Amino acid sequence: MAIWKILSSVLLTITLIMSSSSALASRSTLANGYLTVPRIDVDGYGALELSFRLEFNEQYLLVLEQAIETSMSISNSGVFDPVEFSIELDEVELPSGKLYSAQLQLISDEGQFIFSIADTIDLNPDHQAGGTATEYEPSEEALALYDQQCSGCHGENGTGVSGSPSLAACANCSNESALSNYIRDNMPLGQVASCDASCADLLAEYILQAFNSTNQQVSGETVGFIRTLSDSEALRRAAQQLVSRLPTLDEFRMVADRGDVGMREAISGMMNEEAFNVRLTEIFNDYLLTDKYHSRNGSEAAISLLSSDDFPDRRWFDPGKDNRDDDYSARRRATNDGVAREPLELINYIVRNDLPFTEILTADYMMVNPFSAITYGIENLAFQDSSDANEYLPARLNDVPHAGILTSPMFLNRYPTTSTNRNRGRARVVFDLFLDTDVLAIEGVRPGNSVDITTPIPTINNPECSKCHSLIDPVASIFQNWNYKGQYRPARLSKYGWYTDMEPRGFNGEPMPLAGNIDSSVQWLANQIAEDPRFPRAVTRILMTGLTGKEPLSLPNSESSSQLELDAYIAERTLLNNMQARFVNDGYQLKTLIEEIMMGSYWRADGLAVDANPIAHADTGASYLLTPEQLDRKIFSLFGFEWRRSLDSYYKDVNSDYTSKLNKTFHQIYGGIDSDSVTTRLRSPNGLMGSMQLRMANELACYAVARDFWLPEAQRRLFLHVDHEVSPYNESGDLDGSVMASVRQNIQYLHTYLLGEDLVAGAEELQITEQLFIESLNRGRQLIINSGGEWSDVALPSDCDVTKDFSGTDLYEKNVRDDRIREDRQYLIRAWMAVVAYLLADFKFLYS
Amino acid sequence: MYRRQFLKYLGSSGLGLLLPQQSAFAQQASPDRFWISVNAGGGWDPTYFIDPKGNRARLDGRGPVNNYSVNAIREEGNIRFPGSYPEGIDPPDANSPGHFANFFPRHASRLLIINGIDTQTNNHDSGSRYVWSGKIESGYPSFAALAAATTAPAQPLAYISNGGYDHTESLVAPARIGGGEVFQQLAFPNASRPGEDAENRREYFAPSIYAEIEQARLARMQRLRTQTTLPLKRRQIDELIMSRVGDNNLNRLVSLLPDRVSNGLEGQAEVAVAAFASGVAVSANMHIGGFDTHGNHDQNHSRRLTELLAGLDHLWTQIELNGLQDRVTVVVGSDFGRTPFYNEDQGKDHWNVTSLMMMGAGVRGGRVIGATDDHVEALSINPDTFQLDPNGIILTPEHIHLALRRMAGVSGDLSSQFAISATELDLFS
Repeated sequence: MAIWKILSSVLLTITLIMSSSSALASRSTLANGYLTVPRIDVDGYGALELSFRLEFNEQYLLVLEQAIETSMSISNSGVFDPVEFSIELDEVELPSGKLYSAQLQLISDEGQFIFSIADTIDLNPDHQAGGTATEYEPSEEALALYDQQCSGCHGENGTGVSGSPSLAACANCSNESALSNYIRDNMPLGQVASCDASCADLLAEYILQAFNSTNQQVSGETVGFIRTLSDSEALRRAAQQLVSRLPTLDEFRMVADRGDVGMREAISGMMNEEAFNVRLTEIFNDYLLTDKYHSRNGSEAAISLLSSDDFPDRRWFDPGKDNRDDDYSARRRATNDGVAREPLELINYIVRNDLPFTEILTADYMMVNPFSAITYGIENLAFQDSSDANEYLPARLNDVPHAGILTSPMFLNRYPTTSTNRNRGRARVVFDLFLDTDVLAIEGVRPGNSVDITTPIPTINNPECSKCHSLIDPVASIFQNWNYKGQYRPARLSKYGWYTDMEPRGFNGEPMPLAGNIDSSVQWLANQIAEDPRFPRAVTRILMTGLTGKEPLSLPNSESSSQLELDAYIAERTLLNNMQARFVNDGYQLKTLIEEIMMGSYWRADGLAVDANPIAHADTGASYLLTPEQLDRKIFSLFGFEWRRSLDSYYKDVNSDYTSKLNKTFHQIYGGIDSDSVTTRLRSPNGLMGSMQLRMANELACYAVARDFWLPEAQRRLFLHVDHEVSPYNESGDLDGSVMASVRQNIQYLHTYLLGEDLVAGAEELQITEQLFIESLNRGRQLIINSGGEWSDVALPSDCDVTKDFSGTDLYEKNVRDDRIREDRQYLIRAWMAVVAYLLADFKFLYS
Repeated sequence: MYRRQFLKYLGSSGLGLLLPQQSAFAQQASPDRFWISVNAGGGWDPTYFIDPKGNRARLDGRGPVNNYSVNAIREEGNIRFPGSYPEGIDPPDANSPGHFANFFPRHASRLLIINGIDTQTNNHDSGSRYVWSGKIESGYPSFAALAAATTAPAQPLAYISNGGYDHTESLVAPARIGGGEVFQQLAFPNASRPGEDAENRREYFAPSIYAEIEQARLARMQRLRTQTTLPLKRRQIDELIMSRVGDNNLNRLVSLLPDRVSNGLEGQAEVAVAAFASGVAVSANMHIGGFDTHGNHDQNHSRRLTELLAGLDHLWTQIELNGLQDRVTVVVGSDFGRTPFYNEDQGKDHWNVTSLMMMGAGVRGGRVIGATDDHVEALSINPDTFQLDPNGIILTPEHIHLALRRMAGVSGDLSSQFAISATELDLFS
């Protein structure tokens, strides 16, 4: 194959052609699962920067993801051989600092350009000097430093202790200099001065060599056993998860034509749709739980939290009991939800406008809709439609130092404080949600009687208490300017001030400089968190849970777990670290992180290689029981109506809110949360949920089938190939071949449309469904024969017939028309109902 | 297909080893014992009712513990409670079954009060976790989940939850119930008129055809299970199968519900007891919130306590109506206690010392164990006699849960996997 052909294809596939960075280094680097080659020259194309994704599929493979024109001022990183289709790289640097030369060999150019690693030579100077390769041996100084400074929390072998993270696959272990800087600036917590730059260098080298040298290898080998969804299946899953719809034909074409690049484009497009924000709100509310104050939980649940002293117009919509008009309830709901949704709408605003996600904490504004703006007394905002409750704009309250979610009245009320708790509850939530740190899991012996009266200030002087309190109390003190109702009330201005028997404001052992921050300390905290490497980890945790139905793996207990379990953790953690690194490098773009997760092997897992170890993959995959909200939207996207009641009565409540059964009657039964007393979703179905699935399947089949047959062919969703009046049985009582061919075609279509199964004609599953259709048809026909054609057997169940249109107009007018479908003399409609009811109760319909 | 048939099928097909995790924990235990946890969410104030102090001035000048008179404290047997409410509040209806003067005389003989329990925290999450799991650390199931897993782990509705701490650690799946009317819809999923008598239910599918559909659904799930190579997906299909094939006593449950299920705690009680009586459930969480009274404590707490006690009264009535008084054990608790003084908003903040109430099967009533001093600090008791003893022990949720576990027969893998270490106390008999 001519090299021009390869490269012209490569250049066609890249999404972004631009000048490369101005970096002058020519050394190739392998980090975060990617090999970056600064410059390779190719005849006819000049200097190119190449980026390969590292994969493992029984051997290490490098998939070319990007080729970008680069500067001729950068020295060459190696040589491309146009005859052998190989690349010689002079130097490749690993995260551990080790150097190798490498030869890459093209092994596939079908769809993607994949190279194997044909050869490597160790260029480590120490090794060369000694003439033989040697294992890393830590210096005594490094060992002593680790023992003194680190092992107390991270354990002797780096696997961590309860509440302190493992150093294997740690969030800051992408390379030695980054880790060294992090240690120098942050560690040990509360005693940063005890480890200077040289100490940090020694520890970084030790941690990477001793605990992390094999992470990428372990990850590659573990992930290599995963078999992933086809592109079209992954696209369907992405569309369902992000925007609750089927992919469009254009999206299918993007993926078919351009593989991973097309997939990324499709995902990116979906994230610009409004439906994506709905899902994003759910994902983040599962952690923030501020929807406790949504009007579903009380008409003025949010408004009532606002003080009438601060916001005298908080109930502006109420002209008094005797003067309320028909719009009173709608205005009240729009106002309440404008207030309640403020933190979640901030997230939407930041993502929609491609702002750095750190702004959810650092934003010096809040979000208001046209209704809540009046409540807050904010005027002159340029709303496009002042009657649109879904339009939110940033705004500021006078003299209030906003710090994104952290100073949101909803967040502060959802996590209130008391005179004895002193904001520690808020600090705990900050650590949990934004730093992925469970302070309650910090090991320590809580005294038998928690009221320690022997130590002057137990939280400072009693080591058993200060172990945890030295971490959370400085952050708790930071909230001192916000009272238990979430009102901004600087403590220094009150007659009591702030508590003197408590650690002063600070973060990670660093005291907060008072100058410039004294009344705006939460803003200072927000900026600290925004720079903390645990922040992207915390965001990744929330998104992974939202997109895979479960939190990332926790570090296995080092005493009771197996090496395989540890490998599973390291493999996943390493991949997540790689994703986080790309999230950070791309300016904290949340959409980038979502894209990375959806392009990753765990999200796309569909199976395992036969020799994969099931223990290492016990939780691999992103299959999960759809939430009631997701199932609700899925039903709507496939059928065009919600699961409410008979479609003849649907018009009665089509415009009212929350009447879908999955949003109301069955919402909590099916594992939904109210963000108040029920805050954890059910992930495993119980008996009630199983029964509900059956009722849902039976009812929807009843409602949808006759209605679909009633629609003009061009508007049908379910029955594109068959008609309810054309029986498969001919006059002789034999099955008609051509009608049955249409039946089979429609069954094949239903498997695709409802379950996302692309089965070939004649597949066993299709034959089984066909058997159910025929069996139901035969049994039904026999029932009619046995009863002598009794109307009760000929007629459809009354909920399943079609006598009205969606607006409630009767389809029967005497002597004028009769468009109704009420009878089913051949039992065809009910046989199709059986097929649809069978498919709607299926695992593939109910799970993502 | 019913569960026994299904299990038989699995056994014959060699799939029995592939059942969900919970089955592996099946223990030998009495199948006719039931458990109810009633959670007063937010942190109740025991001094308001079962550990009464009255308005005696504190020596440190921080005001009284309570605003009702010391002289108002009454005794019914060994149970002490205030006979009246603080002045200045709107008291409950004198006829309410939740009024102290009605509730305690009716139930004192069956009530066990445990005072002076140190929860070691004033954090809602930790407190709730500690009180209902017996461990302050995360990762432990609620007692109700353990009891369900011990008695009937594969029963699809083993554990009914109305909120509160219902972590199960995957031993069983908690079933969250809404109103009782939905049971009719769920008991008869093929009926378009589930609320009607059997002859008028109007089925979507003729019974013989529906049986075909059901069989096809189950066979399809088993095929999918065989085909998938992902352990996670296999587990999920197992769970889905188990949720569908349980002994379907929902219709019996429906027949035991009142014609109109009540609201609030009363409704929760009606559903839970009907579920027990129909053999569908083993344990239930009942939940009522609103006890986190940082402001206007006396009025707000009074209302919630009245609702709580009225709900308990109704619960006991339901238990007796169904003849289950010797088989249901009721535990009533809250996240923690409230401060033995008032804040500037006339509210009470969080306090680590709390109390529990118990009644029902296995509980010798008419007793109070444990105590607090005038400032509501927990006092030490002798572990054998339960008398005050400066050299004794302070009660913690560990002690309560060890005794509960023993009563429920939690042992073996379950006991060791979620171990609690504390002195074993014979608290209930």
